[in-house]
Amino acid sequence: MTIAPDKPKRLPRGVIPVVLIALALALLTLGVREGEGGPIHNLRRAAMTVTVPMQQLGSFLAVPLKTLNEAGDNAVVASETLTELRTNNEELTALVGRLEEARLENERLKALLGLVDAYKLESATARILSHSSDSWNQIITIDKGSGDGISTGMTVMSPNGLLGQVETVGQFSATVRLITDPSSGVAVFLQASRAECILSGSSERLLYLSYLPIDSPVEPGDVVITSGAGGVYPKGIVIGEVVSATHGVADVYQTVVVKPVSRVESYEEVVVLTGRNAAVATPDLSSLALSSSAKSDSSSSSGAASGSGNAASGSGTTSGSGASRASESGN
Amino acid sequence: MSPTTTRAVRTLIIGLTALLAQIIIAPNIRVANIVPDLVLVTVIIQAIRLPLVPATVFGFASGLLFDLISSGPFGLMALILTILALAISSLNKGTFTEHWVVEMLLVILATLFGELLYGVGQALVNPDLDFTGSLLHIVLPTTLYDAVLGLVFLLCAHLLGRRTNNGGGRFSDGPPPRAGGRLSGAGGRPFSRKIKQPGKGGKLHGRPLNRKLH
Repeated sequence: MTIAPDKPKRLPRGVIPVVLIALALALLTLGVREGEGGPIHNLRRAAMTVTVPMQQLGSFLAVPLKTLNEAGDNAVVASETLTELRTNNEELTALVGRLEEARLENERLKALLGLVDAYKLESATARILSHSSDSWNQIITIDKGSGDGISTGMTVMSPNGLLGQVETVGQFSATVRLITDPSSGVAVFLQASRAECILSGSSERLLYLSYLPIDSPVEPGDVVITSGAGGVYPKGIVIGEVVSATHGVADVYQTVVVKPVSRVESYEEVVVLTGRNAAVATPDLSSLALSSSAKSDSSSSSGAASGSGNAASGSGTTSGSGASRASESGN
Repeated sequence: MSPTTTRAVRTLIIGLTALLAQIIIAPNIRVANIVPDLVLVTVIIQAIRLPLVPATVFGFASGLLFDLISSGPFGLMALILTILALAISSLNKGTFTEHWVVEMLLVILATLFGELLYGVGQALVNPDLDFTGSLLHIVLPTTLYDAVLGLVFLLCAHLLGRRTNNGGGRFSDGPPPRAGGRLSGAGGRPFSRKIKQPGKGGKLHGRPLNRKLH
């Protein structure tokens, strides 16, 4: 009787796929549950640092493609004329909104004796490296990171209006979640009626006003501005204008579509407001002869009244966009 | 190098190329804000060519790397690509993918299935997401874009396979490829093709490759 030599045991073929699926599920659970400083977030930050040169390369290679696209868009008229007119139109729309906001605000603030704009807003200009690498997230990557003083939650603007909020920060780059992302939410008010509501992004890249009651007056063309409530975004930044407002018979709230003044595709650089946490002189409100309404106005924005439409308010920052929405909506 | 090592190196190169393309090229070829999912397409094409275990490992690794560079839920794409590669490679063992039309259909359906699963995963992780809107404005357009690219990739894989795999078929250890007609990976020279004999002045002789030469 002979004894066969032991053959090395091999795993059954079905084991490895099952193990991999279980591992993926475990990672998914861990990723959803862990906080901002967790290992997966750190890993993503490291990956972001590594991929910056690649994104720069992509941005460089895309220049001819972008030029080609723009040429195609402008084929019917002289390209220089059309580009200039578009830029002028965006700037003027934003300017009218800002001026109107400043006028109304000025009237209210006349009552505040001696109140001065004590907020010195600092900002940093950053270059857009790349757009989202998938269709689900509307984010951009900028070439400024923690080394340049960028931190999570900072507001990102174009020259004309609000673009989004810094979500993840690496050493040399940061990702910005745009306000048009479905998981973004901004506390806003309508310039004409002062009605406050929440502005949300959507998968079709439109902006919607949520929780605006049916009896609130709203007209197409009304300018939408950040309210500063919740302390995430500064007060007074122009976002866009109302395109349409409809509601059904049984609806409690209106469905309002807003057209943003800033389309990220139009820009190569953005402005990051870095001065929100900077040490600024807090005005001694008690020494001023303020009316009670003025006091409540200033306290509603976390102790920071707005100046000429570009003042900072609040100091709270949130990390994720979901948190942003929750924070802005007061939930 | 052994065939297994060659296959592993080739698969690794393909995977890294797909990832680089996703980072560098994909954001710049978006159409109406729809970004193609090059990693998903590559995994589908590779799963048709690879045996079950390597295909699954490739799907998992590619998905994990995709999760690392994207802002979506970490691990979601790894899970989906593992399941997708497993399913496609299992089908590959049978005779379902013998015909190129079936392979094309498989690519289209797998793309739709992958994008749909990713959408469901996103909706589960983010309850605020409007799933119906996402289905219409993200899943379907992305599937269309991916499917077109998938068919192009399939054609490229076929052409590349025909140039590099003389007589060899797909990597699977399943049934040998039939003579002619297959689009995927195998390409190659059919088993009954004649070979040139030395000293016969270039004339093609009828000795099949799978017969022993005397």
